[in-house]
Amino acid sequence: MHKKPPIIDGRTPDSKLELEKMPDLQNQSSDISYNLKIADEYDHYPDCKWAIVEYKSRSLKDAVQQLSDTAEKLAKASKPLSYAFIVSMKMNHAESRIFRKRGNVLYNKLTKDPVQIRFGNNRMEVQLYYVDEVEGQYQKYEGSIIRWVSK
Amino acid sequence: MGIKVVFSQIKPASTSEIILDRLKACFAAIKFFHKGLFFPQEAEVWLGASSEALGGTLKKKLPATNPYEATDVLHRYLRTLPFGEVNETIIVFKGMWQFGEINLSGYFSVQNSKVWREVYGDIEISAYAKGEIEDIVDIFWNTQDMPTLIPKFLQDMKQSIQQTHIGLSQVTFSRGIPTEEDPTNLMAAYLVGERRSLLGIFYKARKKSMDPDVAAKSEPLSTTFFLNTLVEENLVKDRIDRRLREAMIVEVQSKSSLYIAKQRDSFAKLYDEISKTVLKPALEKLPKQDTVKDLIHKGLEEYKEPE
Repeated sequence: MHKKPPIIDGRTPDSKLELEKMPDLQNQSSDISYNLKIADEYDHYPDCKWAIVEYKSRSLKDAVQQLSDTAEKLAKASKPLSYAFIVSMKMNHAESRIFRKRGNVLYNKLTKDPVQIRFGNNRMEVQLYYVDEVEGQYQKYEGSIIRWVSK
Repeated sequence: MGIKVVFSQIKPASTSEIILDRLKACFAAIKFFHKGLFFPQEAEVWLGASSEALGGTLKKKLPATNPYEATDVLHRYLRTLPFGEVNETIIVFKGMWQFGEINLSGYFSVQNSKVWREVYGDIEISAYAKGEIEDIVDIFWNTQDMPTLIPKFLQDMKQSIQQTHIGLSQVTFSRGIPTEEDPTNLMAAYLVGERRSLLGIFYKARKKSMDPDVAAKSEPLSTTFFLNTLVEENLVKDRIDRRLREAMIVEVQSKSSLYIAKQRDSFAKLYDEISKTVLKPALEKLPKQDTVKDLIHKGLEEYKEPE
C-alpha cells in the first residue's frame, strides 16, 4: 500500500504518527465505535505544520468523513492541525459526478464549493493528491537532494 | 463501498411513498445484520449531502440502538418535511460492525437525493477503512460464508419489501464504488434477468471505457438489439456458461441471477474473457461508425429527386 504523504513547500514530514495508536484520541470517549472512524496518519512537517492523512479509503465521501471526525477529535484534544490530505489512486468515475479536483483542492461539484472540514472554529480545505502526483513529488525531491549532496 | 442496493418501482406510487419504502427497505437490511454483525447507534437525516464537510445540513439526529423505534420516528419525521426537502434527504444509520475481534465503524444510508442515489445507490451499506482493511467486502469474504449469506440476505430483503411499491433491481457487493465504466471491482452481483443483464454490464463498460474495438462499432448499433441478438445465440450461452463455471458461483432463479466471485479477481477475469470471446467477435464483422456514415451519405447522394 502506498503510504507517502505529499511534499509541502519542498519538505517531507519529519515525523509520522499512526492516529489509531494515539492515546489522546482513543481516550476521548468510552464508546468504542467513536474511536474507530479516524484517518490514518498525523504527520509533522517542518515549521510546526501538522497534517492528517487518509490513504486507503476507496470512497472520497468516506475519506472526507474520516478526516472530518479526526479533525474534531484533534481539536478536542487541543492538538494542532494545518492540513487535511487524501492520497488516492484516482477518482472513481461514479464519484466524479459529485467531486472535482481543482489543483489539489477537492470540490463538491454540486455546490461548487471546496470541501471543508471543521477544526475548532476554523474551516480547512480538504486536499486530494493522486499517488502518481505524490510519487512525482518524491522523485523531484530525491533528485534535488542528490544534486545538493553531489555538489 | 460494500453493498449497493438499487430498487425499481414496481407499483404505481407517489415520490413520497417511494421515499418511505426506501426507509422500510433499509430497516429490513439493518434487521438482517442487526446484533449478529451490525450494531446501530444513531440515525441522522441530512439535507443535500451526508455531512457538513460535503455541504449538507443536519436536520435530525436520534438514537438508533433500537432500529425499529428509530425507523418509526424517522418515518413520521419524513412525512412532516416539505416535498422539496424530503426529496433531497440522505438518511444515515451509523453504528459498528463486529467481525469477531475486529470492530469497524460503519453505516447504512438511504439516498433520496437523485444525484447521490445515482452514485451510491438507493441504499449503501459500508464501513470506514481501518488499518489494512480497505473495504468491508474484504472482511465479509474473509470471515463469512458468502455463498450462503448473500442469497439469505436477498431473500430476506425481497420478503420485507413485498408490501411496498419497490422491488430489487440490482444488488452489488464491491471493493470500492461500482461504476458503469469498470465492473472489475465487483465481488457479487444480483441482477434482474439472466445472462442478458450480465452481458449488458460488460458491454456498457466496454463502450464507456472507450475501447477502440468496441466504441467505433457500437455507436450506430442499438444496444437492445445487440444484446437481444447475443442472448439468442447458443454459441454465446455456451461461452458464457463455460467462463462462469470457472470464475463464479452462479444461482439462477426465475427472472434473476446471482453471481458470486470465487476469488477477488473473478469479475475482472470474467469481464476480460467475455469481452474477448463474445463482445469483440460479435462486433468484428460490423461496419465502423465512419463506414455507416459514408453509407448514409452515399444513399442520400444516389437518390435522384423526381424532375
